[in-house]
Amino acid sequence: MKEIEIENELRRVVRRLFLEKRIDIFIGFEDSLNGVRPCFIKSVDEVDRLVWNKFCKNNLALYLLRFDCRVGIVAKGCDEGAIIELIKENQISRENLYIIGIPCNGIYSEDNKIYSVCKTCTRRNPLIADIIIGELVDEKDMTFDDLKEIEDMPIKDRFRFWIREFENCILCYACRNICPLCYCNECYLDRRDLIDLRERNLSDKIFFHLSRAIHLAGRCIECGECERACPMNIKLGKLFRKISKEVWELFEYKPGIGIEDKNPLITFDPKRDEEL
Amino acid sequence: MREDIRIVGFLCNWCSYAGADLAGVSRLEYPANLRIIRVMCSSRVDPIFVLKAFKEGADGVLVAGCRLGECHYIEGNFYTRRRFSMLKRILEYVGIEKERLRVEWISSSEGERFRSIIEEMTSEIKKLGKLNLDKYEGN
Ligand code: SF4
Ligand code: SF4
Ligand code: SF4
Repeated sequence: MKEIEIENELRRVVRRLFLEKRIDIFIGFEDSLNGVRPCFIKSVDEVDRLVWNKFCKNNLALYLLRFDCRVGIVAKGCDEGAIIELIKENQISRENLYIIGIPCNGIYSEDNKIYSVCKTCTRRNPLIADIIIGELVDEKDMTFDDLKEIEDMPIKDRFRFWIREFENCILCYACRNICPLCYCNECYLDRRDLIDLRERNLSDKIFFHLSRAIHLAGRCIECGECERACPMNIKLGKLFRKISKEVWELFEYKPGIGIEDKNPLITFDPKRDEEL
Repeated sequence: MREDIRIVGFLCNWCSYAGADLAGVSRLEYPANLRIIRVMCSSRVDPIFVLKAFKEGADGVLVAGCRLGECHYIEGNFYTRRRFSMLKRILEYVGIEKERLRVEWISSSEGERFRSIIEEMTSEIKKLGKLNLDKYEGN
């Protein structure tokens, strides 16, 4: 199916959802001056605003927490992954949600380059969608070879590498705010006794990033939103992919797949943990 | 500029703190680099506590609980083990040596073992040198 056919079909399905009064709001994408942006459709007359193409990069799951009504949403693999995590963490309920899944071959930046997380993505097809538009795509084999370059550095070089990255952080919090799984009402990182925004010390920045890393362990679904949102181009993808790798290697667990799966960090298994 | 390395130890009330206490009453000598914080269970130690300790100038952190299977809260330390094996790997990836974070299971009767762990950890971290996350001079 071509992009334009998917877009037409999407509009048709959403129109029907409104006419049948099955949803109160629909979260999708619309055109904007420099590409596309998320939009919230509230009635059948607005449905033609919806677009679908390879630039629809935002993870729409972020917006689900705002609504307390019946929501429809269009989801790529990573959006659906985030939705699954949010359901698992009791933040949203599956019953109030209508998911239109679209198999994904990767999303592109405005200058037409595929995002790096999409090159290694192994979660392209819908798993819990109510309806699927478009043909399923081939899933790739899991690989973490892209991390080798950093992993193989001597430890001192690695430290230098990450310090150089973190040093540039301006603590704008865009990465936290855009992350669909950083939804805590009270976040550690807002405590000004822990992160002093007048000083913006290097140690505060390191603390900020490592705290997020451990909090996202077993939850991050590698959507890449944090890296895309960062105005300083910090290589957050390389940090969060490493977390995924460790969670996979230690616990053979991948978040965003099964609604019944349990985050390995909130459980344990005395036998298998012996090697830890 | 402080000279000596500092180690922050989170010890659980029921076993490892009692172990440290035993080392004390048995007059076992161990390096004075350790600052002890008593917690009710090793699983009370949020990884954030450890990161905060590093941020505020600790050169090493010890998290100690009861022996596995002997936790006062039955299974607390099993969670501790998973959590900190994860944190250790994250630290290593960003270039903070994993020896700086140590997780140990020490019972209340192991005063001597407590002493030797502290001694070993102190000398290991002295070899690594200080961890100053605020003044990185790029060496
Ligand atoms: S940490 Fe980044 S990649 Fe992971 S879920 Fe959050 S925004 Fe997406
Ligand atoms: S950084 Fe941690 S506390 Fe803050 S929003 Fe994310 S998960 Fe929650
Ligand atoms: S978005 Fe970039 S600059 Fe802003 S806090 Fe996150 S890492 Fe730092």
